[in-house]
Amino acid sequence: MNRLIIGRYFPGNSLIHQLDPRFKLIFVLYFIGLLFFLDGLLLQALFFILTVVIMVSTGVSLKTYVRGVRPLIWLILFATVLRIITTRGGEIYYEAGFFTLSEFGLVSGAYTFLRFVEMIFISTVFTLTTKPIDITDAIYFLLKPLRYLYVPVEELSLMLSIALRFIPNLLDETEKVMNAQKARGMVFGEGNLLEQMKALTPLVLPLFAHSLKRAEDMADVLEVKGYKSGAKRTHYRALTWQTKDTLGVGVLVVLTTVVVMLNSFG
Amino acid sequence: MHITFNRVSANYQLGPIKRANILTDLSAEVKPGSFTAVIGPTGAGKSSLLKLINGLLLPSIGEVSVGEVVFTDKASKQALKDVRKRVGMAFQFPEHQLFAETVYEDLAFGPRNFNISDSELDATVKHVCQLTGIDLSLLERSPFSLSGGQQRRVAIAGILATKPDILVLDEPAAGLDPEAKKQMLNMLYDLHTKEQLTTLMVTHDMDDVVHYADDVIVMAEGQIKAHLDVRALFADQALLDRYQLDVPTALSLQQQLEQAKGERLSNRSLTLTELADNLIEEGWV
Repeated sequence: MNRLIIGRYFPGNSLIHQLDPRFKLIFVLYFIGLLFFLDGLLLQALFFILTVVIMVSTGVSLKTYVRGVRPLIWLILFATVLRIITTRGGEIYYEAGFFTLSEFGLVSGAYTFLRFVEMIFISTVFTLTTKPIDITDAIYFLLKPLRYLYVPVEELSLMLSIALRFIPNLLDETEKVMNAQKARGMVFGEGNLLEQMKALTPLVLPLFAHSLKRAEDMADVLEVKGYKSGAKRTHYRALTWQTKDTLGVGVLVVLTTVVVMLNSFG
Repeated sequence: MHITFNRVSANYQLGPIKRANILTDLSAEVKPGSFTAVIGPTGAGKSSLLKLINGLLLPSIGEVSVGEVVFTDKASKQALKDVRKRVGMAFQFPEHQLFAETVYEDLAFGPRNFNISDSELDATVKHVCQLTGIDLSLLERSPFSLSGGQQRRVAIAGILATKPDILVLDEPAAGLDPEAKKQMLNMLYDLHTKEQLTTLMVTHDMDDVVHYADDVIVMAEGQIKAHLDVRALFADQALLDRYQLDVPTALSLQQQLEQAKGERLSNRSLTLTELADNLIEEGWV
């Protein structure tokens, strides 16, 4: 649990920290989109270097990012291996029915691996440098047009910000209950899968019970404070779009052009 | 059972953020059979000190010994199990640990983990119910259907059910009404005397310190600042001032009287009876 880096905020004052969360969110989504259109070594290398430059400029150590990839490494390797054995072309080194080990397979496997890692890196950059509350505001902003389709965007963003707000509490509580049960002789992470699942009951049940109770309290407090869904609201925290953010959009335009040019003429 | 801390430092390492030590260079010896109160401001490391005793927190430097078991920065599973069997630990708001379908199952959870035989189990559960004043008719109810006070009793009973030799209590009566609080603490104190347990209790209430404790550990900034007996603590005004510690009701009353009268009593009173005696003796009333 402590190894999970995605979703943690590292306070700092780098350029990346200062950017508008709306821009950062758009950038991350767009960047990930672009990753799927990379043909050839040159573009792959360019985007990899760009990702590393962005990571370094946040002032957070690279080790931290690498640690963020670790929990997902099996998923990435699975996708990579799948890609390698199902792609054929170029020189074929080994063949067994449906599975092949070919030159093209290895290359596209490597690209798949890189793409996954870059996706995780770039989203980690976003969450490490943006306060959860700012992320919520950014998501709210991007979802705003959906209001015209009668999607309760305000409520969704309130739910999201409450959920994010309580993650640290939930982690603390998990640790507390875990300690309490350990003190009563519980051993976690022992025995076969079934036994381990059973062992989770004394941990998960108190957490559920307590969360439900807190949710009820929360709802009461919202009501007492006069919260009404659908009411018109202004925002306490205003997001400010700065010149740097506009420049950032420029970077995206340039990147897109480069990708298009290299793909068509490179 | 003997508990000793030998130059212990400890920290929680939380993911990539390496924190400063939360406990620094602690040394202390808790005598078997003693009742020790642990006091100090919030964030002083009181709860962490308690966690060292049953290996929920391991020292990064130094060693902790509980009976014959010694913890350093590594501990074997067996050592942990041995110690946790002998140490009963109640965290703040222990009712948050209740999980089972019935009160009986929850009380049986600890003993079962420590492999107590089924024949003994029934007797143990009934015994702790009696100790903590849980009506036997509640045994088949769901713990979540009980009132807050009853939940607390069940949780404490669940901890006592493993028959610990050492009791470690982190504000066991926090959030209870005064009457329930007194009952809870008196019950724990009786058990402490009757079973000759070694007890450590974190508390913010100096009257509790006077009523129940033999010794006091004063903690601040992750260090043990003083370890002395109760009377010595409240005799040392400089120490109390330095760590902004409260004084018992009787002593506070005495100080107000002294200020109003511009004179001082020769003895410091820790309980109201003592105060009355002192006042009569020195002819103030």
